Amino acid sequence: MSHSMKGNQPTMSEANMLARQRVGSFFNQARMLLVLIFLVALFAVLSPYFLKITNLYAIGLTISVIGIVCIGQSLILLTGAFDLSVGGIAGLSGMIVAILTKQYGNYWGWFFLGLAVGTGVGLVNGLLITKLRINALITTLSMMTILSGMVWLTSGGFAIGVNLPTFRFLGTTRLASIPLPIIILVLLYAVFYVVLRFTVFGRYVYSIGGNAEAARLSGINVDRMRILVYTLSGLLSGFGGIILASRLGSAQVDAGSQYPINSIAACVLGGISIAGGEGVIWGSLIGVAIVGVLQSGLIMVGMPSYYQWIATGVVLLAAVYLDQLRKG
Amino acid sequence: MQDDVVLRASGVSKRFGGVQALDGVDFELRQGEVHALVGENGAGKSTLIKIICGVYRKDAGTIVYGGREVDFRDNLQARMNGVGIVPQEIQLATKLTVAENIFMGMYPRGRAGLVSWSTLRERAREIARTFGMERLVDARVETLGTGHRQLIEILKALVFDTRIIAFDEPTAALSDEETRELFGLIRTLKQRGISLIYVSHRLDEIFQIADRVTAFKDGRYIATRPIAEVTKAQVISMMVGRELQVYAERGAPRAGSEVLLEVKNLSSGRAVRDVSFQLRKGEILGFFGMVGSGRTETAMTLFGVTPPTSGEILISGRAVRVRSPIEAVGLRLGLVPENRIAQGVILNASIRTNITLPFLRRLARLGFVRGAEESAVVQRYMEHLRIKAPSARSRVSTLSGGNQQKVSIARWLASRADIIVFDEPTHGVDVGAKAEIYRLLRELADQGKGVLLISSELPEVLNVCDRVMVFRNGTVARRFEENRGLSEETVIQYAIGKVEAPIA
Repeated sequence: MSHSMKGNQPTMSEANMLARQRVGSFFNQARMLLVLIFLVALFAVLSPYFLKITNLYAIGLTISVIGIVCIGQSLILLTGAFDLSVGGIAGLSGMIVAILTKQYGNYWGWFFLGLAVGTGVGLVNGLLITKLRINALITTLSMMTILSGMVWLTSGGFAIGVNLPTFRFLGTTRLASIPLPIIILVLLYAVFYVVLRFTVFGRYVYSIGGNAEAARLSGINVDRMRILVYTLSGLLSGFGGIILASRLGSAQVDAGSQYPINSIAACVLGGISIAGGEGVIWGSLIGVAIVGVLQSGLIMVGMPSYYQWIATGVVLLAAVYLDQLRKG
Repeated sequence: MQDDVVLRASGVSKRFGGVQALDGVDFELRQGEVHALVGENGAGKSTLIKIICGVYRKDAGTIVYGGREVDFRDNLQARMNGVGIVPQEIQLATKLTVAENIFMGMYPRGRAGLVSWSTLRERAREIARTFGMERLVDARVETLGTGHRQLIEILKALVFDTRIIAFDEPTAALSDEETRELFGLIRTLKQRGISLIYVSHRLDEIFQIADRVTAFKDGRYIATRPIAEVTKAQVISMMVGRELQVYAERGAPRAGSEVLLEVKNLSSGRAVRDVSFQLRKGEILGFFGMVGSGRTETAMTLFGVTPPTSGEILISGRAVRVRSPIEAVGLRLGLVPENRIAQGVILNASIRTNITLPFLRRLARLGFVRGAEESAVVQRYMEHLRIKAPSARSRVSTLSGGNQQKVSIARWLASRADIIVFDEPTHGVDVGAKAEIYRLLRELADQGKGVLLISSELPEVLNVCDRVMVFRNGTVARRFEENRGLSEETVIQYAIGKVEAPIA
């Protein structure tokens, strides 16, 4: 019998299982793409303006910042944790850059300071979680309120507008008529796709999310990896916040306040498992796009904007439920 | 047919997705017998007892119990009809007391519909009395050891007027001592006329405790035999469909070879106290002892998981500090941990990811994994260890227990570790995979590696290891420099001390 331990030949049932698994994971990513296409088609039928290139760019601009934030959130979700401080970091970085630029000019110097602040806060998150062993949810939740307090303190509670052309560069430049933030968004996703799929770093991220203890006993420096992903998430959130301020021409006091929940929702929509270790980064982009299309589309068909929130929540619940069904 | 048959399953089938777990199997259980159910992983043993106990519903076939056909809706209905199961994974609410666990889901109600705690405790005490467990009914489960937890599962099965109890790998997590206690208990149950189905990979146990044995293979019924009429070799061939030599040949001991690892007066808190030993190139050193005796704890200290509080570790004569598994792996140590699922493999990752994890950096250039090179290494070790899987990309969760364990082992072979610690490597793997693991251990030793085998299975230690160290109370109780003509009695005496402690 070819059955038992001899040889590597799979039995029929095992070959079937593998095939099902492949179809399953393809289906998972493809399905959300189908949902996106369906929503686009739906709104295109309902509103003649929806598919206009200006509207598509507007959607792209809206999602570009949260899309960048979602890359960091995805990294952290993949390691099996959360980052609730992404919005706070985005808000503070944007605010610091705006205040200092308004005061002293010299935008690009403050731009890098803003990135450094985001990175530094991420690093502190990572250190608190790994060295002091404070629960990740609590650490980043506390950090979120601390950062929001700092934004109010530094701004005095007012939006800070800056009229310098350099300040508006990142958010308003167009390359071949495509808004720069959209290009940055797509480029960053491409870079992190390659990093997660082909590098040692990427493999470690998935391994830690899959089974942190097994990874640790295999000699992987799990703490260092956790610090690294929180630091990266801080950097990306800070970058997002700076682009947002640049696009709006001002740093808002409540900028990013919805990012923690929305970024997690978008990643989960895109198939990143909240248990860690599973999902593809492109999925998060699709998830963000679904939320963006839904919000823009609902406005276009004349629904009051409050319905956006309800619709986003319903779509998220439906997506997660469908995922459960598939897993059985 | 005899009238003392309490349960007869005929033509039972069950499909899970694309997998035919059971394909028209027959099974017959007589009153007051211990009926062992054997087969390799995936043979369908657990599936059958779960169908009998209402955990799964069958797709086809009939089950006649107590003279009428039954099809239990769920486990509770089966229990109420006298069919209980002691599951492989003990499922207790650890924050609750023993009594609360025994009556889980059916707390006795008093006036006003509130739980009557006094009745609950009283009835629990009554059930526990037979097994001398009365004093434990108010203890919280988290304060008890594995042996006791298993007992609670048995007590749960006895709440109703029970006629059948199915055991799914009951000894997998028990020490030898606890196993002996369990067998005493099984005999008591048997004397009461209760019929027992006993699923186990451990043939020694089956020959000690069972009256009859039924073998399944690939979801099909093979044969049923009275245990007195078969030999172990015959049972194995029933299971695997061929003759199989479980233990590999041991060569001559190599006393003169180079010392790879030397541990001097190693201590870590109270778990490891003053442990010293040498591990030579080309030998398999056995660590035998009960759970909690310090054998696993010593290995964990060696591997940097729990830091040493005093003592010295020398690798190839050089004093080293091992403060984390990262450093241990850097010193070419490898650990195949005891709990495969929790610590060994990453279930939702591929075989490839699991195997190359400890040495991925060596397969990378500028941080990028060199795919072709990685695939070649993984392919080589999958073939070498005969890991049965559709491809290197298959998720480890889809593999059988034995193949998962091979993945956990392949990692250290592929990383070319010099010293490999195996902590209970054959727990929960079938006899075929077991034989392969033993052969592999010997092969590693023959290649000049140092192999440390931690085990609570005496036959394993006595048949596989070149030298044996017995642990008790966190320290070395006895060292056998030559494993020749050692009897189980001699070795176990040192593991449990002179006085036999009650089960704990």
